Amino acid sequence: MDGTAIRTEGLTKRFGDTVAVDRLDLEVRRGEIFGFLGPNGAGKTTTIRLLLNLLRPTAGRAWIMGISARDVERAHRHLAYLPGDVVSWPQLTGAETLEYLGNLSGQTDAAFRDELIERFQLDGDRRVRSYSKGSRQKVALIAAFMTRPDILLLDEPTAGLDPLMEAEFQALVREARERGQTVFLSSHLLDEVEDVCDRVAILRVGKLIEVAKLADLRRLSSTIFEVRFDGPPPSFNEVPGVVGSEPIGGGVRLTVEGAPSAVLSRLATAPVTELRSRTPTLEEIFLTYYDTSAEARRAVAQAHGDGS
Amino acid sequence: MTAPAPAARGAIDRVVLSHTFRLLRRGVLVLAAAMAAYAVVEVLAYRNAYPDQASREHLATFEDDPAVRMLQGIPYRIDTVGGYVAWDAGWVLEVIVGTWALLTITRLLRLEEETERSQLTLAGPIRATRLTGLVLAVVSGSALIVGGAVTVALIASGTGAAGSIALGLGITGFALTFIGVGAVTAQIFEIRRRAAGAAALALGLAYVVRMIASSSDSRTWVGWLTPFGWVEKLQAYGDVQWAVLVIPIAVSASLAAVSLVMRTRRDFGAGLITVADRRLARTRLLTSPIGFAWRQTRGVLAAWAIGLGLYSLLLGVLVKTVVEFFADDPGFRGTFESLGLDVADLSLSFVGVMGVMLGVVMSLYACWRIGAARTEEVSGRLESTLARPVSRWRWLGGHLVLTALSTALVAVASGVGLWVGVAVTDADVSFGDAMKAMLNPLPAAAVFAGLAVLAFGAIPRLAVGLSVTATVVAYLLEALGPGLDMPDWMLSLSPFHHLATVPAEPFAASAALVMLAIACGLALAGYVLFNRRDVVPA
Repeated sequence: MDGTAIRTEGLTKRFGDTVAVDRLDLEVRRGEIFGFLGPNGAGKTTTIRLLLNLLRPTAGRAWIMGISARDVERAHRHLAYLPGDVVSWPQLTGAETLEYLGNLSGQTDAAFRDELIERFQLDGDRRVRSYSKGSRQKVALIAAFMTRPDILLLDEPTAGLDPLMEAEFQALVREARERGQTVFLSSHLLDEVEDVCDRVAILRVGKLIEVAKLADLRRLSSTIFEVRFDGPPPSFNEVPGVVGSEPIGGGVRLTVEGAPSAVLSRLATAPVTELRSRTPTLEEIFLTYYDTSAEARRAVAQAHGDGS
Repeated sequence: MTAPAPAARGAIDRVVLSHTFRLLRRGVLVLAAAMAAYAVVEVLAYRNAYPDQASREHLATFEDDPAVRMLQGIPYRIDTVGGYVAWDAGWVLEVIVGTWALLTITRLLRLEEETERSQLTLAGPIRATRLTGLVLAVVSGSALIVGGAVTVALIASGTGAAGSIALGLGITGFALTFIGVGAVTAQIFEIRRRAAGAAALALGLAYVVRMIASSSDSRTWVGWLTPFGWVEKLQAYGDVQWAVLVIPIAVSASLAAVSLVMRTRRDFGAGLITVADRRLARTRLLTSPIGFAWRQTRGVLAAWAIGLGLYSLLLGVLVKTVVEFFADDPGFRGTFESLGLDVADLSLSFVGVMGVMLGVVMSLYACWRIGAARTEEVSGRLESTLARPVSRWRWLGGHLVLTALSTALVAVASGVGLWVGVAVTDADVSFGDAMKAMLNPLPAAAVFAGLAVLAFGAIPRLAVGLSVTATVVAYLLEALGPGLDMPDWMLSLSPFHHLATVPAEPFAASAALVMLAIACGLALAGYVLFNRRDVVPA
């Protein structure tokens, strides 16, 4: 067994003419929390399904804890999976679902399971049929964590959870790291992975475009200021740190790299009526840093739909 | 930006109507084509087997015995092509269209709600009762298409316009009745499986009532109580009683009205009978994939076993009547002997033939049972199972073992039912004979189950469709092929062709072994293909 939790070599999946995952080489170390980022349709779920051997790769291979992903009876003893689209047997209760999935895994930590039920405030005696989306998500989350697997494959895990439960989930992920578990966390939201991940991979139209430590990514990443003025906006052309500027209604949207002090000085003398700052969305990071060619813009815009 | 003007009600109705028809049109077209083809094959088989008036009159007397009456109904003008088709194929077409009707309406009115898809529609400016009404209209219209296809096929085959129109409308009316029944059960139960089950029970009862109605001339009035009877009383291809059509129309309209009233009395997603959502965990049979599959299937299995058991019981009760009917008539004895059959073995031959017939139903059950595995995949739940340390072989193998055991159990239930029937009437059939007759067709059922597994591996979408179609075609080949003078090699394609009439004849052991080997080969190929393909929720 080598020291990696997850490894892929040239992993490729084609559906007809569409290349869903394109020659993916990935190495996730044991004990790290690994963010797997990309817009919708980038191939995140396909990659996870390939790791689980639910999909057969067109080319390439994958290993889980050094075991071929094809040997599911051994490989799956080391992992648990939280699907992005949780479906369960409607006629079973939550507790029955956990019992069955635990028995299939063969290694449930019953005390931990009960603790999780408590922490997520799950009413286990109700049929899954009558659960809300959030409760179904809780059942799947508990089912994944309760076996204390070496690797957790989590596909957009916080969908459907309220902020309180999301905080609980993040605490759980940190605990998992403390216990030495590996977490593979797929998401299209930078916010979701930012607080917990050590490293992130960024995937776009099936291709891996970056694997970086989160700290590096954050250093790379910029701040967006949206400023509105009483009157015409001043010029920001020569202000250090400003890498982008575009007009918005009554003001301007600035993309600022590094320390924002120069921008703030310029703003101090202007008739500012409204100032908002935020970190860029994943899409904006793509557009700014990774590939600003027209083709990439179209690809990202397409993946995000027309609404964004 | 200005908001678009609100759509007129008529425009919204049209959207809902076309969307609903889109959901079922493929099934409707396949059903219409299959029913029309079946009717045409019946016409050809009849013309071929009974080319002249003498043979047709002979048939009219020969076929008119109590057993046949109870199984197929009272013959009417079967010395004409149309009359024969209406009598011989009519009840089969009615069972098929009735099953389609109740499955389709419960799917659209309950499953769409269970899966919360119809809330997308109901979020639009449309009342729930209006949606229900529009769905009823679309399914009823589809029933008319199916009935119309039978009419057109029969007219084209030269059986006469008036009779064909009457039979087509009778079949449509039959479908309308069960659309109404399904619409009501879809309001009562909050799960589609229960709604469809309850409606299927009504269809089964209708069949039993018709058996009672056909059992004696003094009981023909009972026929007015069953939708099967209404088609008979229409007297297609003879003195057509058009007024009888009022009955299914009135009954289905009333049932539809009841369902609409029921819809106003309940919430979205709820049924009129609610099942408690809370219960203490029952953890039995949750330890392995096969245990869990058994837990999921046993309810439906019980329904099949009881249903076939009761049907076999009725057949068992018939045995004595049939045998006495033949024994009393020297003419029949002669005919019987000329067919190479021994009159002394008459009751054994009869149960043997019935066993092969029920083998068709057992095969359909086995195909459906493999389809249950496919349902797990389509729903996406299979992913939850296979993401655990469970190999595909362990999971599929569990379903194969369950299919084999449950099909055998259905056969045993039929054997017990048959034996109870013959024991009650003191007929000349032992418990062993009854069992042998019902276990005899199992190798054929295995072939169709194997075919279903092969389809599951190769073209998963068609796992049930392909194997069920193959079962029906194989049965028709065996039933109608000889009448159509089909060559031997073609007839021998049907697994049913290789079953002996056990217990009158000895069990065809070598044929059974070949069929079992074929079944294993098909299942193995299906497994290999499944193991190589992606697991994808539809």
